[in-house]
Amino acid sequence: MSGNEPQSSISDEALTRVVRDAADGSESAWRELTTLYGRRVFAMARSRVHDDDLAEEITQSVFVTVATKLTRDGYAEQGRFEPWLFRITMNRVRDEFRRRKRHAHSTDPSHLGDTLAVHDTPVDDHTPLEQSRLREALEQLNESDRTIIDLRHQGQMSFKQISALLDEPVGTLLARHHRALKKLRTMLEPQESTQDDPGATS
Amino acid sequence: MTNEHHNEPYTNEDHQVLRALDALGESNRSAPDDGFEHRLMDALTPALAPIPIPIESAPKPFSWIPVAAVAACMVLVTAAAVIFAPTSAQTGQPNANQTLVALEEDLSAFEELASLSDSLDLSIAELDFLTETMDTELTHPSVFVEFNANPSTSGSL
Repeated sequence: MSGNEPQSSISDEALTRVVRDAADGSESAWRELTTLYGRRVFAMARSRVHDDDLAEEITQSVFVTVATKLTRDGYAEQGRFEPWLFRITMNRVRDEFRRRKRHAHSTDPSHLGDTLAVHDTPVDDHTPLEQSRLREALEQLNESDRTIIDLRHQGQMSFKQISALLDEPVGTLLARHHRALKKLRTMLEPQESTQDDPGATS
Repeated sequence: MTNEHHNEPYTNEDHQVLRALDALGESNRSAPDDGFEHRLMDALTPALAPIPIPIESAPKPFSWIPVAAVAACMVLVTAAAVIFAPTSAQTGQPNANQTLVALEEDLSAFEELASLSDSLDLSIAELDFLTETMDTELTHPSVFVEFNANPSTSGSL
């Protein structure tokens, strides 16, 4: 659909072997997993919390959870690692939002606006669309559309993996992804200001 | 390129949005500095360290050797006790059967004594004298019960 294939792809068999080695405590296997997935998890978190330090903290928390569960329970579910990893990531991000909302309510209500606001991060001006506008548009999507967009374009997950994660048919996800694209496109269309078009006001 | 599910072609604007989303994802993934993976591994280290088991609670491996040694010692001690145990004749002490016969004889003597004291209206002191003479002692519980229950046997001289 787009050039959104993971930069560090790995076959299912190789991934199963690496995850099993990681479950046995192999440090080199963990290095491989963090190289493969660390930045993808970080991107998922960063797209939501808009804070590099917090996104890194969430990423570390996700991997510590994965390590704890893998070394304790072992790994038996072949082909389920990525959906599991990103489900943990989504849950961590939601936990963080709940925590920040509670904190904002209990301390200073004025912080609530900052919590949910879009924080500008460095923008790559070479992209066709201005990224700050794209971020703002993403914030306007409903939660289910946003989740699919983030899993696909931040986490670089395939639709098959997203289907396993969300327990929804691939066809449904494709349709929702397409619908979300159209919403974004509408929001990003150049706004024909009435001030620029005096004829429209008449 | 089309959306396979709905067979709806992507417009140029759709592709533009897709490219922008991919670029945003790439921007987020490349945001961390070079030490990102190193810090991530550092955070993982405690979770990967094996949990130390306290020495006092560490389970000891089971071994039949001490069990067999203890069993052998018990057999040897028991056998030695049976083989070298002194007989009643050697020790001069009555065995269990002899003790039981003696007690029955004592009880018979006490019964005769009780019958005699009843008919003669003897006091305790007189009975003591008689029992000493008979080389017996007034220690059997049944005798005490019988004497205490019968006032006629506890009269004075």
